[in-house]
Amino acid sequence: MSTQALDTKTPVSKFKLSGGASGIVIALIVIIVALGVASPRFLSVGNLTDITRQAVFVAIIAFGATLVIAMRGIDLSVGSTLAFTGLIAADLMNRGFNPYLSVGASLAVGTLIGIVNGVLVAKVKIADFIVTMAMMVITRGLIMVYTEGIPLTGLSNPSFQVFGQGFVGFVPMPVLVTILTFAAVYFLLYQTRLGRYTLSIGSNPEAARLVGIRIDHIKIAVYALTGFLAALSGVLLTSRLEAAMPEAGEGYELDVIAAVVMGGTSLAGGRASLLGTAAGAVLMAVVRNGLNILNVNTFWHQVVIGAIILLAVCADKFGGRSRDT
Amino acid sequence: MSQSEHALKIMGVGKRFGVTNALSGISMNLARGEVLGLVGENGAGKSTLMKILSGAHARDEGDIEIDGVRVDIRQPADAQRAGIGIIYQELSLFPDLDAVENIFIGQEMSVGKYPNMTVPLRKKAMRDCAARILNDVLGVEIDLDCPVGSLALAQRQIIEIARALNSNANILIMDEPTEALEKAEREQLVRIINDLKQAGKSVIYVSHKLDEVLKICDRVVVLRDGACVADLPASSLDVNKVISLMIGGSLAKQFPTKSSPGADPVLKVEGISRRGAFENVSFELHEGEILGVAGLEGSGKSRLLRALFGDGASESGRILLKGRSTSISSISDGMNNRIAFLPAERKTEGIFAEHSVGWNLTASSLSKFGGVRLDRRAERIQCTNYIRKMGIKSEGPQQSIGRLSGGNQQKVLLARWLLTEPDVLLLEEPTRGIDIRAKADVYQLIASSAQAGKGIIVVSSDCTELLGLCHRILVMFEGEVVGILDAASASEEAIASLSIQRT
Repeated sequence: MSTQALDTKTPVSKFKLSGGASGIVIALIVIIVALGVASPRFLSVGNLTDITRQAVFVAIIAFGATLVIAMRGIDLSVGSTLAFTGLIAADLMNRGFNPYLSVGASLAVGTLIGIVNGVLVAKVKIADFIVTMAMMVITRGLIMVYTEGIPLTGLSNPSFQVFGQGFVGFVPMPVLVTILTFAAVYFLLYQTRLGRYTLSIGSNPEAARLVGIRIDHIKIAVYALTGFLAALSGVLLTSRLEAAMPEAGEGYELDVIAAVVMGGTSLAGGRASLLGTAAGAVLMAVVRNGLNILNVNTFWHQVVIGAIILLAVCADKFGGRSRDT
Repeated sequence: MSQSEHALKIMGVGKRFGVTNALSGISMNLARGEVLGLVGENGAGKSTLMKILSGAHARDEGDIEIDGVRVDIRQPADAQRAGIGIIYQELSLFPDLDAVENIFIGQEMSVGKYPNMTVPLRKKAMRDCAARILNDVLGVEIDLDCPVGSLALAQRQIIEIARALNSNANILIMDEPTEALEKAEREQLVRIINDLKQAGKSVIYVSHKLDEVLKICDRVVVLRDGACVADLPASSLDVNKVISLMIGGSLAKQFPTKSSPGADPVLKVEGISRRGAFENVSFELHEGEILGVAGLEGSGKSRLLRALFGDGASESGRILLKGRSTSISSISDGMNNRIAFLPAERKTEGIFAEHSVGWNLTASSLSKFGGVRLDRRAERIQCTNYIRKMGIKSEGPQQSIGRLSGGNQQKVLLARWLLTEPDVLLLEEPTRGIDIRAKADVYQLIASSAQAGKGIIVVSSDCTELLGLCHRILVMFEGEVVGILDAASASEEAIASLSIQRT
């Protein structure tokens, strides 16, 4: 009896592990070691800090996008939202508003964009791809109308600069914010009903409806969260650059999706690995940085990144995680 | 090559998955124009055998002969070439294509001698050919122009048969063909099988419905634990004998004893209607009562059941719960009023396949486990309790639900709703596609819930089930209640004649 109970433990714990982020973490370690061997400069403290700084802007958004994708959704508007909300914060400060108020307003607008996305997807029932693509184009257009393509600069208020440039101890502020965001989203995803419901919707929307889950509410909440996180990322980026760039965050939507999918969250929904997403975001930054250090022609960067995404997804597909019945 | 007397001959076929022998040393014959019943519990090897014949799995040992010629079936195309057609339980049609396109899928007729994908199709010829198969060979009228997704299930199944015939199949394998069919449709299928038999086609008929197997088939092969335990003429068998062969012993009793219901109505429905679904339905459901609902597909029985849960709610009339008038206009309303609903389609409407037993079990009562943060310890304890109480065979709450048998999955779903402590339990086809032993368990669980004072409504297309399990049976026809029968004095014939009315 007791031996049988012991025997049954093995497959259970195995199953749990395969649902995690083992593959991407191994890939990440291998690449870091390889780059470290190829170029001693790569592993210097300064360079590693650079990588982390690059990774955080995508990572923060990707945490929210993990929930969206686990729910079988997609959000293409995050890059534009980042730029749009960054611009709002910058513009308000330039008009003399208090930095905290400006940041608050920026986060509120980001959340609102997410809510609009969510309502159009969940209530009006337009395809998420279309809704968020339209939102992406609209917000980017608004930015261009307002700035005429010229960056907004002169954000020298120190209490704003601290978001993107400050340190707590030896930890850069954006990194700290990313860690806190990770912890908060992790809690939401794995410890609360919201997370459970999000995964249920992604796993089987019809069954989710029939167990009484308010699918529309959950969808709106998840898109709102992602909008909020895009704005948070926008604030950090604007503060770091001391400027709101009209073209900020262009292409982020793809980096974000790549980070999530490489991390092992299934595009078919139902499963999510937040740790994998974090590793995915770091991996993207590591590769970009490594290619720079190795003096690879910039045009080749895209090719390499694309190939890595394909490889990661193939590894996931053939790594014994295919499921039948 | 001289004609062998056997359309199909299987000799010592075996299949292993890892260390388990799914099939070992299976030998059997199928004569031309014979209907062979293949029965066995879930996991006995029926589906493995069928998958080997249809090329979905490759066999590990043994030989297969068709018309006396040895064939090597390694993939679906091999099976098709050998003249084996399979009609799946879960239909494999393309819902957006019409009947002709479905019948010819993968073997379209095209202009010219060298068929390739870019040559124009001979649409008229295909249409004529499809019409000939459907009308002349199968003797049915089916609209050839509408997408098959909008056709009735029985018609879609016939299109699958037509597709197999069109690919020159001489051996047809039917997997649970009548599971979801109504009586009249079942009779039509039986007629079609007889016609096919007359035309010299051979049929392997796989089903859990033993009385039907005995009626339709000439011979019955019983599988148990991957081996063939009996190969006998149907005329020498009866249902009880087949069951004892299947389980290797005898089953005490399929249906539990009915306890008598209480006096208080837990649910009272007064003249509720929903346009296009059901009209002016009234009935009472007492504490501890099991009320069956019978009727054809499209009679409104499922719509009625779902409306009581708040999914596609009723538009007029009154619903009283424990004497209190209540409005149920959404699923949230239904759940707040302690109504539970077990849907018919386990895979698409029930389980969260990539998640654990525990996850599935608590899906509709998560608010019981903590406020903001889920109390996962309490959740696990509760799950372990229910797994034990309901006799769910699993490795525990962490096991993936996808690895359980259909019967155990169904018990998890039943547990999911019992955990919400409902007053009214609405069950739609609660035993569809699960094996005999699991059926008996589910009946027992339903009966003990009734004994605990819950009101239970069971919608089912299985009249035996309704008669054996329920106290009363409400029969629906075209959205209206046409009779409420006392199960003790009713018969399958009485239910059938009420459910088809004038036709």
